[in-house]
Amino acid sequence: MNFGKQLKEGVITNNPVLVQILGMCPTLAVSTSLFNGLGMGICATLVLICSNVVISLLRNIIPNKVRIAAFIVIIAGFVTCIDLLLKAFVPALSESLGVFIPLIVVNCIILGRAEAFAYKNGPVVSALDGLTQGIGFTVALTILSAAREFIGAGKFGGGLIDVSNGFRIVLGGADGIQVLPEGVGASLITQPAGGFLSLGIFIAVVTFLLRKSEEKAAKKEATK
Amino acid sequence: MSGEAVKKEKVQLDPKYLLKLAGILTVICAIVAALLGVVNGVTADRIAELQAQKQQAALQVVFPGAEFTPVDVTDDLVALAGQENAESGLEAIFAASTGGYAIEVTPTGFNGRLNVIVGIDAEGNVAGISVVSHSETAGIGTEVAKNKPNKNGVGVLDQFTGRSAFGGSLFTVNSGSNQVDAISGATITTKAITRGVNAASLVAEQLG
Repeated sequence: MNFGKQLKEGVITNNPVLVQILGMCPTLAVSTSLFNGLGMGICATLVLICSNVVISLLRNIIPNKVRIAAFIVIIAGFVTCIDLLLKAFVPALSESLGVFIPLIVVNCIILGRAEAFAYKNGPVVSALDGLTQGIGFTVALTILSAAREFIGAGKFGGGLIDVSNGFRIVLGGADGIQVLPEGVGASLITQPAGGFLSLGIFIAVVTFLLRKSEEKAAKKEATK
Repeated sequence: MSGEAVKKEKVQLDPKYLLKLAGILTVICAIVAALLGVVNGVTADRIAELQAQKQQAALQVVFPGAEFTPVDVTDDLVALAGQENAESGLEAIFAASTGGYAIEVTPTGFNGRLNVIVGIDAEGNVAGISVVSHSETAGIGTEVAKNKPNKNGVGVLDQFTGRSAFGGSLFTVNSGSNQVDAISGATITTKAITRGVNAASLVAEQLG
């Protein structure tokens, strides 16, 4: 399996959020600003790469009967490391994501990839699988966050882009760029119910496009 | 068929096999724990320092330039703070060198607890309010933490400043003799802040 194919699978055809419908809890909960979405994506990707590599290395040692318990211990270990490191070095992100950092432990993308991929494949491909699936998660989360932020509050780049004193990239606390006039946004979208709505629409659009391209490919195949 | 099932059962209950399972899990846990110990050792000091800095910054907002000494939070004071509403949550008390107290309370808002530091000066007036952390709804409850003006054009946090809730005249939202006004849409968050200020006032009055 080459990297390009894995990347395409992770980001588009087998996207963890949009196609496998995994990791819904963090997706719905933190996709409220660009900063949160991007931050959660990167944290989950780091955990996913580490846990995939370790589980892949230990796949011949971990007995089948207790594999889930072993996976959870390994994943929880990495999540706690990330949590502590964020608290110490990126406190803004740690505050903004709050309890959703420790909750990466139960992100089913990570356990799902451990079970479906890393436990059956070598460490290098598993690392790449972690990276590509992580990128897929991050891309989906970032797009959803940006869309919700724009529709809900008329803003772009909340927490990340500060324009109050010239254009600056900061970590946390920034208000973002007010694209639409204040008060124009449909604030329902930034709330949990709006999260379900926007995620549903996002998944529907992606599924529609994927199916269309599949049909096109099938037609091409048929005319050959 | 049934013989096979019995055989399987026996394999599962083989003590050697069970010990092996437990052993491997224990080793994995031990390695993970060791790793966490190392990471914790690297980060613990920095995390504590950042938290202290943050608390200090919030304290400086309510009493600029003052120095703070912690005061013991007794069960009596916690009960007193919870007298009006059990969910006011008294966390910490600091006596300011300039007189008065900075009191950290954690009232329940729309999405869980807020962490608020309320400054009460020696006369019992509110000196300032600092929202340290919260998880209120973006664009609605967050506006309270940003001190957005209410319908009277006064910042929702600023409206407490210089007023007192001593002598039983607790603040009430949108009605009553010691009235504060919520910003529209964020009544629950405003009420949470008000509960926190009331609890802090009760505690400060008790401490004298």
